[in-house]
Amino acid sequence: MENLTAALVVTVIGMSVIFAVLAILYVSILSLERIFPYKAPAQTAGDDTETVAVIQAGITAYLKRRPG
Amino acid sequence: MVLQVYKIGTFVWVFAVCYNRKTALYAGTGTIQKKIDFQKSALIKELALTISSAFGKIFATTGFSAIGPGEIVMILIALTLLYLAIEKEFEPLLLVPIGFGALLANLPLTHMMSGDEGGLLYYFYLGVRSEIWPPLIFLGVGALTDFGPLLANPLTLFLGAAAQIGVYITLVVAVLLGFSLQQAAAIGIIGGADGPTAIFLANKLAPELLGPIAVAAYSYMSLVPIIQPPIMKLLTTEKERKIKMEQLKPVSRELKIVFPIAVTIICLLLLPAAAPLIGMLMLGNLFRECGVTKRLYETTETHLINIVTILLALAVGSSMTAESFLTWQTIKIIVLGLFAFGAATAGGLLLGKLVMVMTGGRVNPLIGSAGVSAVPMAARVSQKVGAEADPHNFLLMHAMGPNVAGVIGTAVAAGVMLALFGESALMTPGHAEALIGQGADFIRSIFFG
Repeated sequence: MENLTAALVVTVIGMSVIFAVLAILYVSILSLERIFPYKAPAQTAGDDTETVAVIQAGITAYLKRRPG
Repeated sequence: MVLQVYKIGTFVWVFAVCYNRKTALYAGTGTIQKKIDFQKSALIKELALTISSAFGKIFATTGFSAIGPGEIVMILIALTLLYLAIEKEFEPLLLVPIGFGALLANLPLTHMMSGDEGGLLYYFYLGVRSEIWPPLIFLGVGALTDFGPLLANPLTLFLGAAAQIGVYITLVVAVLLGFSLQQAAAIGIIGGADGPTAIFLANKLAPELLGPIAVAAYSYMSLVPIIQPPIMKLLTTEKERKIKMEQLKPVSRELKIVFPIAVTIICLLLLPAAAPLIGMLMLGNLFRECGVTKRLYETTETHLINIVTILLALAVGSSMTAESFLTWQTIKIIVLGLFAFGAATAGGLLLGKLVMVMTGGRVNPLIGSAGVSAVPMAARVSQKVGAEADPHNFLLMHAMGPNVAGVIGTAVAAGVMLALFGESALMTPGHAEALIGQGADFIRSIFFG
């Protein structure tokens, strides 16, 4: 009976501690998210349609002028 | 050369014939003949005795002379484990070395587990006893784990916590079945579905039960796809299983790097007893995420974890000797292990349902069952059951959140058990009332410093 009481106490304490620890982790993650927010990668030339069009036009013009 | 040998052979034959005739002449009387016959028979008897004694001595050095019914049963169990691993592919990376370790340990007179005889498996087992192998496995697990889904949806941490209820319910049931508190705690952790943690805790609290606990933990982990779906279907409706979840938001690299460091500091300040497990888990994850330790990360996630798995599994298998394994306790542990898995699955699912209600139906409760650890198999089961309800439902990445949270939750649960039942042994019978006060103080100290 004593062991059973102890087991029940351990259950209450154990689950409380687990939830408490993970709740602290939850709050920490939310705080860290604010400190280190996700930033979308900067646009590269490959994403700029205008630049791509100019380069493609340049390549086409070069190929037309190229002898042979 | 051949001719010479032939000549020598002929000469020896002729000499032998002459000698026999001469002996026959000298032994002309019947009395002498009888004496010779008697001497001959005595000689033959002596020779037979010598030969049988030699064979007896040789037989005494073989395993057949020392094998008993217990060893035969254990060899059959080892062969069954090997069959399940090789033919049915139940956790083969673990059950093959465990089964073979059990086979080696139960073949008599091999002295594989003898410390005095320099038994090989004895030295492997020292790695378990001195708590080296399970934390090293956790180092590899950390390197293999992506905490991204958890960081993208931190609410899933609580699903990993809820699944630990299986650990504690099993503890209570084990106490009711007559196990001591320490043994019950070691058995309950099977519900965490985390092999290294189960071995770590069993070795600390109930080393005599290490073999059955390890076998139950790894066997049921491989049976997750069979154990979980009926419970998941029983506790959820078709409509709930069809809930589609929003795509996970991306997470910054900095957050992924800081997370293992933050977990280490927070968890180990609160639960220093969990340091070997959580410390190694987070170090492995830091190797993965920091981006400057590519060699260490690659070694940890492949070669190191593979080598340690061989050593750990062989050591666990070698602990399965007839006298420690063939007991009623083993049968009880196998049944309790199944119960623990079921209760943990139900705990995760029920909190999943609560979160579903709280978020207005944006969370599919099926991801709660992945809180039992067993990475990534439990998450795959959530995906499978969800896809059965709606083939366009993709829950895998969402389920990975509670899945990895379950690993942290189980390590924390082990830390709590060690804090309560470890060397300080607060929970010895008769100390329940004192513990209530201490537990209350502990919780107060967490919240109010």
